[in-house]
Amino acid sequence: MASFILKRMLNVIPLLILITIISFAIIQLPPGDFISSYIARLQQMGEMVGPEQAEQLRDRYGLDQPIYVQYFKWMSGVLRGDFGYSFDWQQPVSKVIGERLALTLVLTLSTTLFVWIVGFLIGLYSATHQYSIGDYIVTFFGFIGLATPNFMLALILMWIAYAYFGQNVGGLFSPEFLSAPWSIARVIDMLKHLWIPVIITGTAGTAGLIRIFRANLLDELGKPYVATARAKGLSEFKLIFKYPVRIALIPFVATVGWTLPKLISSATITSVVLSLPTAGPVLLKALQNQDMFLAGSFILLLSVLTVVGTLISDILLAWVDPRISYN
Amino acid sequence: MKKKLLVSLFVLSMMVALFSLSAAAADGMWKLYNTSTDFEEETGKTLPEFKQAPQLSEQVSNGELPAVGERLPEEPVVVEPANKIGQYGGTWVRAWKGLSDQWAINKPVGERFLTFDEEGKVVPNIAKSWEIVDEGKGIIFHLRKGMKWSDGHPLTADDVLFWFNDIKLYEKLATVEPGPWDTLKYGDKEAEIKKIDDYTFKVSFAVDVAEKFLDERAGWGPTTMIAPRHYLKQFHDKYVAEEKLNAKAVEAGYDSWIEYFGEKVDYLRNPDLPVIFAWQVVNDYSSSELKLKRNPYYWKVDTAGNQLPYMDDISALRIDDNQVMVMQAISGNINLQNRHITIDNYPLLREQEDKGNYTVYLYPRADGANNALYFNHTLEDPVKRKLYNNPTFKKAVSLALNRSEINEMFYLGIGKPRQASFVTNSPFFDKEWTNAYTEYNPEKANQMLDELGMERGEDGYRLSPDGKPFEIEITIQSMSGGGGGSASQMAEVYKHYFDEIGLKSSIETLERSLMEERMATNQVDTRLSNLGDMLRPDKHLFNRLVPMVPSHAYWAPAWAKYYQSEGESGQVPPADVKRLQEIAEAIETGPSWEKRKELMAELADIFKEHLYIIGTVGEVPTPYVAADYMKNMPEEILDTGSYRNIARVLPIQIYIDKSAE
Repeated sequence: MASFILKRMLNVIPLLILITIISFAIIQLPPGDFISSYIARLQQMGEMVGPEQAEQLRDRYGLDQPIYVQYFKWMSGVLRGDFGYSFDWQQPVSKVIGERLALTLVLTLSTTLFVWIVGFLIGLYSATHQYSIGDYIVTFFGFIGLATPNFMLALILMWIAYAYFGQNVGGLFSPEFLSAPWSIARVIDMLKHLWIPVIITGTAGTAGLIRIFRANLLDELGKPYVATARAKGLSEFKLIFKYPVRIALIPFVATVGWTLPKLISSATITSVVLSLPTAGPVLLKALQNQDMFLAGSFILLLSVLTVVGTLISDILLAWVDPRISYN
Repeated sequence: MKKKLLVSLFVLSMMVALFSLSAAAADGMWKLYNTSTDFEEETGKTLPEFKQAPQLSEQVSNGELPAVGERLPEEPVVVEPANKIGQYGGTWVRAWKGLSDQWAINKPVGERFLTFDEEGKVVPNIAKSWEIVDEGKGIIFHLRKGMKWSDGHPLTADDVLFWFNDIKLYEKLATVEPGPWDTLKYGDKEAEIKKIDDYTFKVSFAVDVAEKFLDERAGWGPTTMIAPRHYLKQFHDKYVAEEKLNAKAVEAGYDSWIEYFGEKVDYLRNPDLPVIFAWQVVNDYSSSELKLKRNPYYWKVDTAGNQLPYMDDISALRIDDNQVMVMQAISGNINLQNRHITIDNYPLLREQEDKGNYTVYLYPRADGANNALYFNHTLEDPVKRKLYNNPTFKKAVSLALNRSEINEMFYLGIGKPRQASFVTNSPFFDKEWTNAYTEYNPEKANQMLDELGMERGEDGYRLSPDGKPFEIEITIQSMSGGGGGSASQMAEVYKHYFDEIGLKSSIETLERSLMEERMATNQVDTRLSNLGDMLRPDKHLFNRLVPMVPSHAYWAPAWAKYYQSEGESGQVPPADVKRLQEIAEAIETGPSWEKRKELMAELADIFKEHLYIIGTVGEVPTPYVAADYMKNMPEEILDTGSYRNIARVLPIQIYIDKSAE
């Protein structure tokens, strides 16, 4: 087991280097650069920048250098813990990302918990009560939840909240707490706002998990060992939880690998719609604007988390599922 | 009897509706008096003793601030509010999208060296007055004695010289914003600025451009021609050893002092920077709410002697999505907003107006064409190029476009069907140009195309004059809305009009960067886009109208390339386009008003004849959403970048009526 983990970890390093090279190249691929997108945005708002000024700006940001020079400059910074400078925000990248990370973590962790708990409970009910009215209702809503894009749900909920309750749904804080320093009152205020994005971003995930869990559990429940155990008089509760549920839980564990990168990038469009101060919209904008050090750092972070997440889920799977061998 | 009752009920409800309309109506227009002396002379009234916001009185009695009379200049600007003298207090809540959207703050807060008065005339602002000398090759400006920066330090001619010599012309700082964004270069020679005394300085030029210079100090560009020398000196390598500055810069996370200075000189990024604006930034611009507070040294008062502004604070919420912005406006969370609110939201905004306790003001815009067709006159394909250069072809296309239908479909019928020309409010408005070939007449269009020898092929579509299949490629930029509806919806409508006269067309949607690449390499066939402000002849207008900068010359990139490279690359423009370029150059030198009118009339004539740009609907108004408690909103303003849009409602004289809140 230990050598398995060590080997996996050593594999990770060249993989990450490769990912940074590829992602840096991809960000550079579209024609133009940050300056041209910046100028285009200025023009859309009716401002003007001449060609000489554009050259000056390119010079200032080092954008006139070849791509590999830019890459090595950035990487050598990253190794020293300096992720570079965001052109768009006019701030060091670490500051831009750092400020949003905490809130993103809170939001994603609560969403994940919500998804898992609700998905598990409803999936369990649905599988053990197959083809009952309850199952049909749950299945119906499950499919709708799966099929409705989250941002759409966000828009609908926002409209309902405004039209019928006169409430404003956007953001994570009330106006009076927006730029206030952290305090208990601010945390409580955030919790009051948190449930809406949690439900919105969690719906599709919950619905998906219900379907997977129900199908897996149904598979297991039909197997001979369940019938045998039931014939031997094992209590129904113990029967279901001891074996079939454990097997059916494997998809939960397997998804841990994707949950970690989601901590950063999840629900981008929903976040844009709900004006949540999380990392997703920043990543989206960075990519649109070719703000390459910010986007590159995000992608680096995402890749690290994906790789680490996959590692964790591998280890967990090996632990949960006795059928997996280490070779 | 019943019928009569119904009728009278109807009439009554109409009257109520009318009454509520007029109750919500706006309040006339504000008026500027350059100095207190001007105010007293013009009105015959005396300006009462100066008063200030309650929070400032408190600070004065605590000894934290000098008395209001000592903070104001000897002769402050006097503002007559649009309706009545306001009350102090309250917060103006707006929405913006972060630093890349910095004009959302620059426009309402910024001050220009000179400004436009209520009639659109250039009048003094930071400068108190000027004299044109040396036959237009020099201007002597006088500053306001006793005017102070927001930290109480006096504003003098040294601040102008510092801005000019140590920032603007300082080689090392050439890349620092907002330095390079506008220029004082005229006739290829940089202007010169000389100090005469503490409150007087002289600007001299190589050529006679005084009037144009004045125009520009009021119009485009972010600079104010001043920078707080007393504060910025400590970050400048002319005044402090470079090593010392670089050490400080590294500590702050920059590579060199130049970037560090770039941050320090930017009022948005540096709350410590002394400003002369009505409000100053207090917190970090990257937080979810940018806050600004009143500048106790602001140098304008109302006609009752109250120091402006009325509103205490500005709070700019960071909202990335336009729809969410509209939502926030409807729910009353933002109380005065125009930026990012487009005309397609107008029906929704009106519908919720009563419930939301806000008023939507539709202010006319100076956009000559909210969408227009730009046939590429310099295409590589010789047959197409010849056709696109033929005025008859463009006139036929123009006649085939149903402008009032486009207006109804995309602009709720409140735009104006027109050619791409100077707007009605412009001094250069040309009725003939505006109406040229704007009637909807597909029969005549068909007939004109027949005469061009474009015969119909087997599929019913016309062939090019040399008998080959012919197709127009309508190119749009993805994600760019044209006010109401997306660009692709509009392109579909144009395709339909082309079908009706037998012209085959296809729609190509390009992502922005790809569009730029294709524009630069002269590969875009026909672009569908807006035109922009057509109010006064300035650089911005000419870049769109006359091929001089390839990225902006949608209708002739290769001619623009020829112009820009001074004949080294691109294509040689024909005489009519050369004349347009000459006109643009002649305007650059700042001729007299009559001469300008003459040149613009000539430009209009050339455009009428050649119809390089085919406009359909223009002057679509912009909705300004203001909470009902926001008072002194002007009855009508022209929404244009030259006036800096929202700045034209004159935010310093807007007040929050607490009884109505």
